[in-house]
Amino acid sequence: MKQRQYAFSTDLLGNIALGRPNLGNLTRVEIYRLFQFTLRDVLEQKMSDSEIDQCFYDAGFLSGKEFSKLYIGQCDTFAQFIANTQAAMQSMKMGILRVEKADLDKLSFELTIGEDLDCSGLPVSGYEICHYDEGLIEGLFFSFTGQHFIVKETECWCTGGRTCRFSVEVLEQ
Amino acid sequence: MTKDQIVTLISEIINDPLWNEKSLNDISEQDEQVLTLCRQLVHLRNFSQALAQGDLFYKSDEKGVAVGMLKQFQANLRHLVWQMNELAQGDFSQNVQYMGDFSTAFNSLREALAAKVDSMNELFNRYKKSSETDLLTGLPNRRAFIQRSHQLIKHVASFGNPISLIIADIDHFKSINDTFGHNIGDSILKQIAQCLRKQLRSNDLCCRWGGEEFLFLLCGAPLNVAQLRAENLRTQCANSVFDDLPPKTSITISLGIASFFPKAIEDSAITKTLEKVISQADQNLYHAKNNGRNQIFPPLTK
Repeated sequence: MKQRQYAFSTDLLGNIALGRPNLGNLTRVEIYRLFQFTLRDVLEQKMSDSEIDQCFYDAGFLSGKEFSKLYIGQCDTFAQFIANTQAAMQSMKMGILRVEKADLDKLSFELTIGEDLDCSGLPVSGYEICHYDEGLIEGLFFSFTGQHFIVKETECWCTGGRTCRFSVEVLEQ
Repeated sequence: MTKDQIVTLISEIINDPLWNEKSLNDISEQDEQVLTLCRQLVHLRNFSQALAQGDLFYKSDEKGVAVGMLKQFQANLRHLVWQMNELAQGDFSQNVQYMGDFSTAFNSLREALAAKVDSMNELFNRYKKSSETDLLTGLPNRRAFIQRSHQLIKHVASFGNPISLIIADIDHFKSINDTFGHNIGDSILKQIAQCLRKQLRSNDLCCRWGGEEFLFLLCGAPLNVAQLRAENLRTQCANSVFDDLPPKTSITISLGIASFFPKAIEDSAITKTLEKVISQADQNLYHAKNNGRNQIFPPLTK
């Protein structure tokens, strides 16, 4: 079996202080989107939409787990988990996370992300595009609960919303 | 439709509370753009009305800046509802942001509530401690002893270990009071309590049971261990020097011991067991007194 070149590790985030002593660790949202949507453009010519969406979801899931380890840490309560996640996402300027409903017995949640890094300000296309966010949210919830969830974006800037809304339901075994 | 008709219709949709949506049916298909615009206005009107009436789950599939603002307001309110519920459950970390003056007001309210709850908790803990403590000796009082002993007995019962109870009573305490006065009597009680407290282990329980009586609960101690501990308590007291008394005046205690293996975990059954074992320890104290005081009963066998 071919040895993988990019199995994710936090080493791939690099030593930014060493590597970018003058430019630092900030870049602009446009550059992030330029990267994401040119990548998507190329992928769209090689794969089906559902395959690309799944790739973005899976990448988001991996990212959510790593993000949780790096920036959220161990949380004892749901309130603490949300507070830490909100603070981390805000300080990284990824978006404004908010909870609209939380049923801890059924593990059923409704969240919104305002000023989302992926989509806020994009043209209204009529379909939800935040598949990476869906995966990321599942990764975060997986890290907190140890359980898998079905995360579905129900409203997006690209469908005319002002915030992206996500339903998060535990995946029944 | 003429320009005047269009202006009148839009004005009615925006301003007339009694305007009826059915009147849109009268618009001919040729005026499709007017109809679309009116439907958007009607949607904004209905959405605004729903929000004004507190319906935070009004579903809107419309797009555009104006309806987007209402959706954002709706999302803010829905999040706020969740935050208020969290606050009601005691989570004072909730912070409202990006809602202008309301954020400031909410966050001030939250800070004030948190401070009030903190001070009430502090007050509650102070009163709770004072309601569970014997003011003179600083030992737990009878009520606190009973409460804590229930928890300990349940814990010990789950391991099948024994428990021993010791009742200690100061010998001739009435005559101390009569001879030296009640102030000196109180001082003696305090010093004896201090002396007894020093002999406690981490999972022992001790209280001022009443008058000049002290009650001990020793977790995991069978009768022979409890006898050794009681004997130690007796000698420590007998060897203590009491500053308020004339030189060579000694104070002694007598002690009754009873042991049992707790089985019950129901509170009512524990209460009955405790009453029974305390009564047995009390009878043994009576024997120690009758046998000449300054001794334990049952005595250590040589």
